[in-house]
Amino acid sequence: MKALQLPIAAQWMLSRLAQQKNRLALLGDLQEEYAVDIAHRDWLARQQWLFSQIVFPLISFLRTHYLWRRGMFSNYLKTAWRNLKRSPGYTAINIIGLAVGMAACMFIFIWVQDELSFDRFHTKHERIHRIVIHRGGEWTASAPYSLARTVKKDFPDIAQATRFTSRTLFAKTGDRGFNETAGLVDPDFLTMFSFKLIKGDAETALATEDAIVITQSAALKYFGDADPMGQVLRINGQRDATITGVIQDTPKNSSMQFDLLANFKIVGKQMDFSWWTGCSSYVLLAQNTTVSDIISKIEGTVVKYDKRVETNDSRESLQPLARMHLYHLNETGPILYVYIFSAIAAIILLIACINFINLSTAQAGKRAREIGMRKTVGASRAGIVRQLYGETLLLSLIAFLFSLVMVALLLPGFGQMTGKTLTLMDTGQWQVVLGILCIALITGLISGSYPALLLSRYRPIQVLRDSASKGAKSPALRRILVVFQFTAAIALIISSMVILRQLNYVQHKDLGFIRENIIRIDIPRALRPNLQTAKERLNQDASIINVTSANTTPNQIRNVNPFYWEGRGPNDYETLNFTTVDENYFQTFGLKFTEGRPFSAEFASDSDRESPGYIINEAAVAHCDLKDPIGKMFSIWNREGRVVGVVKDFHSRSLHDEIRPVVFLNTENWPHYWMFIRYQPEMQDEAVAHIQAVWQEMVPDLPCDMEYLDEIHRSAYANDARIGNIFRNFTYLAIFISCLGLLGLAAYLAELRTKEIGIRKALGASSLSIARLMSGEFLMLLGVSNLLAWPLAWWAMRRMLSSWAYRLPLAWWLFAAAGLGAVILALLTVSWQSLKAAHTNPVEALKYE
Amino acid sequence: MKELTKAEEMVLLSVLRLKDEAYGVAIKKNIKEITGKTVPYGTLYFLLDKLSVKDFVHKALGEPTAERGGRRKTYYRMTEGGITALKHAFEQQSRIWTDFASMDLHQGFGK
Repeated sequence: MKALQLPIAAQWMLSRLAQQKNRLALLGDLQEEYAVDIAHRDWLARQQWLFSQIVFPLISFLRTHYLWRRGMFSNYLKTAWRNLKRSPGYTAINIIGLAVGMAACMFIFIWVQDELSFDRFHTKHERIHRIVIHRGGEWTASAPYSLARTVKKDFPDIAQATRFTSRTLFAKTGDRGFNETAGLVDPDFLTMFSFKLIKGDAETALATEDAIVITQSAALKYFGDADPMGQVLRINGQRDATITGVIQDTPKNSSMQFDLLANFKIVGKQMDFSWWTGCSSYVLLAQNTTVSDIISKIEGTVVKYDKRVETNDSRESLQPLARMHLYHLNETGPILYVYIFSAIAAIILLIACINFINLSTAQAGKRAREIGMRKTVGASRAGIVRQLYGETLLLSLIAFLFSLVMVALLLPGFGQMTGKTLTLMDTGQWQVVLGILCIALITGLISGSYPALLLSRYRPIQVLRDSASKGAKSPALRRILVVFQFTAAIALIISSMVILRQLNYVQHKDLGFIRENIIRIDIPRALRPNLQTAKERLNQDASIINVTSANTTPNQIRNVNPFYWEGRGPNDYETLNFTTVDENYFQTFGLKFTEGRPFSAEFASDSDRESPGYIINEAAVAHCDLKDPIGKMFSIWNREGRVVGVVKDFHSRSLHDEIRPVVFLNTENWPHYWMFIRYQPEMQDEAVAHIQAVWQEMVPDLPCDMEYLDEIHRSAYANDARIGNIFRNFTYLAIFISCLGLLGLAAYLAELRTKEIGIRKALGASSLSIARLMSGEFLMLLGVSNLLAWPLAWWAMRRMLSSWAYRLPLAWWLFAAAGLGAVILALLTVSWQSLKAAHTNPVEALKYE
Repeated sequence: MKELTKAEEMVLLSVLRLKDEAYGVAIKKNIKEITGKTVPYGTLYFLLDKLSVKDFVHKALGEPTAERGGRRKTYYRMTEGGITALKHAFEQQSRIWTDFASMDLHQGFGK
C-alpha cells in the first residue's frame, strides 16, 4: 500500500511555519504520524488533526510577530513625533509647503478633470460625431441645413442625425416672457444625446413642428409648481408651441447649452443646401463602423447636392463629440491649457517635493545617530528604510489632509477664478479621488526616497564615532535641487508676466474701429420690414450720434462667398470674407478710407442688386493684387460691379488671427442681423431710454436686448483673461513654496554654522560680513537659476505667443526684472536668518551644543 | 555542571529509553505513553535543540522512508554528558524527595 501523503497545501503551509533548521525532520515526522496514525481515520478526524497542526502554530506565530511589529511600530511613531516636536519650525515648513503644493496640484487636477469631462456624459459619445467642412481655406462646423437629413438617408451606417443651432427666442406665457437660449434640433436629438428627459417621451417629444421641450429651471420660471406638460408658450410673438417634455438642466460640462429645445422647423420653412449659417450637424454612427470609413463615404456630399460654384472645394470630415470642447477646428484650443496647467501642477508639486527632500536631508544629521543606534541593536536596513518611508508617508498624509481642508475651503474661490462651478462632490468621481490619493502617496514616496535610501546606508560604527553631522555632507545635491527649484520659479514668473502683458495688450489694443459707446441690438425678424424707419426714429435724439445696421459685427466677419475680380473670370473665383452694411456703417465705427469713398445713398448704383458697388479693405487690395483699385471690376455671385472705396485695415476677427481680406456690400441680398447705435459718451442713460422708447413703439411684444460692443470685445477674451489669472495665482504659489523651502534651508545652514559664526565674531568679524557670508552661496545659486530659466522661459513663451497673430515682442527687461525680483525675494528670505545668525552673541553660539 | 529542566529531563529519558529508535515521532509517542501528555513537535524540537547545544545528545541521519514522504529520520543518541547529567539529576531529585513519605502533609490546613 502506498503511504498516504499530507495534502499539498498543508505541506506548503507547514514548511512555511517550520524553522529552517529542523524543517525536514519536522515535516518527515508530521508526514509519518499522518500516514501511520491519522490517515486511516475518518474525514473529520483527519481535518481536526490537520487543523491543530497548522492553525494553532499559525495563530501563535502571528501573535508573536504582531506583538513585535506593534512594539516597533509604536516606537517608530514615538520617534517620529519626538523628531517633529524637536524642530517645530521645520515641521511646519515641511507640512505647509507640501500641503500648499498638493492643494495647488489638486485644484489644477480638478480643473483639468472638469475640462476633460466635457461632453463625455453622453452614453453614446464615442459614436457621436460632428460634421465639419473644409471650405474657403479653413475648417468650419457650419453645415448646410439639409446635410444631416441627407447623410442619414444616403448612408445606412449613419444611424441617427440631427442639426443643432443655438438661437435666442422670446418665449411668453401669460405675463411672463423671457429671452431664452433655444437649441433648434431634429427629432433624433433626444435619443442620440443623453440629456435626461424627466417628463415626456424621448422618441416623440420633438416629432411635431410646434413641439417644445423645456428645462426644469425654465419650467419653474414660467409655471412655478404647475405641471408644464401641454402648456403653450408663444414664441417670438409669432407662433404657439406646446410643451411636450421637461428635460434636466444642461450639465455644466456640456458644450451645448440651452434653456429649451424646439424642432428646427419652428423658425421657418425647410431650408436646402444653400443655407449654411451657424448650424452644425451631428451624426450617430451605427455599431461596428469605423470613423475613417464613414468619412470617406460622406466626403463630397455637399458638392454632390449643392451645384453652386462656391462650394465645389468643400470637403467633409467628422469630429468626435468629446473633442469638440478641447480642440478647436484648427486642432489647438483649450487642450493647450490642459497641457500647460498639468505642467504647472507637476512643477509646483516637484518644487514642494524638492523642499521636502532638501529639508529632510538637512535634518538627516540629527537622525544619523538614531539610525546608527538602531542598527547596533539589530535593526535591518529594510526595517530602517521602512521606518523612514513610513515617516515621510505619514507626514505627506498629514499634509494631504491639510490640503484637502484647504481645497474644500477655497474651492468656491477657485471656481470663481476659473469661471466654473466646481464642488468636490460634483467632480467627486472615483478618478479624482484616486488621483488625489495617488498624488499624496507619490509625494510621500518621492520625498522619502532620499533620506530613506541614504540614511539606511550609513555604517553604524562610523555614525556613532563621528560627531560631525552627516547632513552637511551632500551639498552638491542640495545645490542642484535649489537651482532646479528656482529655475522653475523664475521661469514661471517670466511666463506669467509675458502672458499677462499680452492679455492686457489684447484688451486695450486699438482694433482700427471704434468700440466704445456703441450699443449692439439683435434685429428681430418682425422688425426687418421696418428697419429703415426704426433707424431713422432712433437717430432722432440728441444723445444718438449714429445708427447703422449690418450682417455681422465688425470683429466677427467670418462669412465667406465666392468672388472674382479684374483680370479673372467667373470660373476663376476665390472665397473671401464679406459682410453687408448700410451707408452709415463706416462713419459709425470711425473707419478710415485710404482711397475712394464710403457707400452713399446719393449713388443708386452702390446698392444695385445686379451691379453693386464694392468696398474692400487694404488686405483685399494686396491679396487681389489690384493696382489703383478704384473703379476696378469686382464680383460676387457673378454680379459684376465696381470698387468704390478702399477702407483702412481693421481687426475683422479675433487677435489670434491675421487680418484677412474683407469685402463690403450695400445690397439687401443678405439680411442685416445687427443694429449698432453710437451714442454721446456722457449721455448713455438718455440713449438707452430713447432706444427703449422707440422699441416700445415699433415692436412692443419683443424685449430689447442691448449689448455694449466693448464688453463683447472683452468677453471674447474672457477665457484668455481667466487663464492668465490662474497662471498668475499659481505662479505666486510656486514662489511662496520656493521661498518657504529656502527659509528652512537657510535656517538649517545657519544652525549648522553657529559655532563657526561665533568664532568669526569673537575674532572680530562684523555683522555685515557674516550676513554676506551667509547669503553669498544662495546668490550664486540664484544666478545659475536665472541663467537656466531665461532660455527655458524664452522658448516656452515663444510657443505660447505663437497662438496670437498680434503679440507683443518678448522684452529683455521682463527677464531681467523676473530674475532680479527672485533674487531680492530670496535675499529677503535668507537675510532674516543671516542677520539672526550675525547678531547672536558669540558666547551663546560657542556655548551651543 | 549544566542543569536540566523538567521538560528536558523528560525528553532525555525518552531518548535513553528508545536507544537506537529515538527520533521525533517515537519520542513523542513515548512521552505520551508515560506521562499522558501530548508534546507538540515544535516544543519537542526546541527541547532537542537545547539538549544538543548542551551536548547531551547528538544527531544522526537515517534512511528515507515512504511513510515520511521520502524524508530521512533524524535520530538522537545519548552522549556521555547526557548520561552524566541524568545521573546527576536523579541523585539530586532523590535527595530532594527522600523524606517526602514521612512528612506531615496536613500542617496548617483545614482547621
